[in-house]
Amino acid sequence: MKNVSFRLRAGEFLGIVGQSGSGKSTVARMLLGLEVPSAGRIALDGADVTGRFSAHAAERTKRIQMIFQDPQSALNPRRRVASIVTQPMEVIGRSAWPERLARAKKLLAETGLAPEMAERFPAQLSGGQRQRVNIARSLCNTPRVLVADEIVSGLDVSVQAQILNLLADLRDHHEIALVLISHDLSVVRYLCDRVIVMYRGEAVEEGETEAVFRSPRHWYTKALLAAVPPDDVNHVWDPHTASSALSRLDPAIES
Amino acid sequence: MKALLEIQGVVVTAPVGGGRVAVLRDIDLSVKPGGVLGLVGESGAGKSMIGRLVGGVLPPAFRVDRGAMIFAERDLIGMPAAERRGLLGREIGFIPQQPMTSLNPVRNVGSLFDEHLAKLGVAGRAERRAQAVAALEAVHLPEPASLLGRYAHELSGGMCQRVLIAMAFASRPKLLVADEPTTALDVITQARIVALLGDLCRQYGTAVLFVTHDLRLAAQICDEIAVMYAGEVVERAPARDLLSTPRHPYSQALRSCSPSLDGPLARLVSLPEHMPGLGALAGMAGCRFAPRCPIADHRCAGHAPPLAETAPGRWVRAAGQCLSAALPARGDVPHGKGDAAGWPPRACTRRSSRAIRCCSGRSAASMR
Repeated sequence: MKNVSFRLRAGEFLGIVGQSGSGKSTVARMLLGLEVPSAGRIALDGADVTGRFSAHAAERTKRIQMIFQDPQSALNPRRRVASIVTQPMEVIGRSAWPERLARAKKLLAETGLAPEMAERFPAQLSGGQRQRVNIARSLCNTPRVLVADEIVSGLDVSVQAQILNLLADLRDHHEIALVLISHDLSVVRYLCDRVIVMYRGEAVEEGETEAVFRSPRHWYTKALLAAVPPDDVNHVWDPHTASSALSRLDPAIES
Repeated sequence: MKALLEIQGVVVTAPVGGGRVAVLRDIDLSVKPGGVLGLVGESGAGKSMIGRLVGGVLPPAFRVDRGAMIFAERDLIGMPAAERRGLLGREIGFIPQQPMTSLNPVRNVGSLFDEHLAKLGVAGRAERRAQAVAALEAVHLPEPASLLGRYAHELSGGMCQRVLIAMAFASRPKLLVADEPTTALDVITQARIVALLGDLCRQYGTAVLFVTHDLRLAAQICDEIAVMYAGEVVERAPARDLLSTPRHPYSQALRSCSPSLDGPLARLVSLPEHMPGLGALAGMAGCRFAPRCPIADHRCAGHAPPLAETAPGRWVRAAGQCLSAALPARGDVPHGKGDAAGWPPRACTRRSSRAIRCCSGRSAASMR
């Protein structure tokens, strides 16, 4: 990965798109301090948070939260939902159980889950409910930044719509920023104000989502957009267009 | 033209509790030689079950209770089991959903290909090797000879899928069952696999049963689409018509619940609850979609509408009131069925609300 620079404004939803292996997830891992860049820095509100043991690592833990891809494996099967969603409170200090339970109920309400879900175990929930619990947990310490890596790719379309609408509500009602990593361009269009297109470890195009998607400049962005089947049936889509552009301009890429 | 595959009134049942439940109910489908039929719906709708029905590999204890299934003028249901098994992999090819896990991890590509060609009756190891190399070349895999010595874990998802496609086409099948062949892949790899499948099918005159959850993809590559819900075909129409003017409330929801690149930027529709499971279907007398249907009323619970032709080539499983009723506009949704679940769709207000917040944001001015 090289030369990746971006600023995330407060409350902004930023999409990072690209093929598998383009370096999208590495960006997420660096934001969380799981990966240390060889050069460059990451700053949160001006404080350096590069790498796991940076001076402001504790601040990063409180302020940047991850929504994991696979809710099935991201939730401890032996804890109840109330305990899972308030687990981040353990990081900032001890809190009494009634306090945690009250917080859990609030978080469940915010993510559209019934209060009685607090008593359940992850195995008793559906896929969509698990993803909501996952999101509720990430909101526990009222972070400034959420990082979501392919969180809707494995879900059925109607559950996906519920989760996307939930994120849209967070955007409209909370002061929270989101870095959404996805290979699905239409999801990014639906949620994100700005988009970064990554290709072979480099950011090749960046801009307002609508502007980039309407008039892409880089050939790779054009190939990505051409690969998505359109909603308008009068627009004739040819799968050869996207694939041949890529083979012509980068024959070495995964076939 | 005479149909290659004709499924008429097929009912497949599975044991649930003490009785049997119809997992697939009254399925009527047909595929022309060289045609592409799309099966679209969410998980649990029965799309893959149709693939397994056609391949003759239903799960144990599932059985065909009623109906007829004719493939290339032969009756698939009355056919002896041994003959039926012989069709799969020869006249009926199959491409699975999970390319990475569908190749035996402890054997290399060459050994898997050799076994497959030996089953197809190709004599001589050297001849089989030559055919395998040619087949891998035909799916545009680089250095096919060295690929024969590699294992599934050394390949990417797209490459595994190409190997499986090469194997499926080795027998020049009349019909290909493709079960979500691109779901696990990113958009560009998906476009490349779809382009490859199209080329091969045209070359060999192969018909396809294309199972997918992506209505827009199906509209582009299929001739006809059947939308499935809870084991039933709820709508059948020419592919482009189904995407542009879906008639059944479920098809309409399916279209408007997934975001698009070129459609209007409206809030997504999301249906409440889940598709009924096998246990729930047992006690359901009426329309199977009614519990989630935005326009359902008291009549729906007792009446299961048949699949009826509403216009030439367009079939909808819906009662008269479903088709005449306009979908509810904003505000007329019955309480408890509405807004929290995202119904009805409302205009997305993000640009305006964002503009205000961005101006007050800390770093707004510094962002170029």
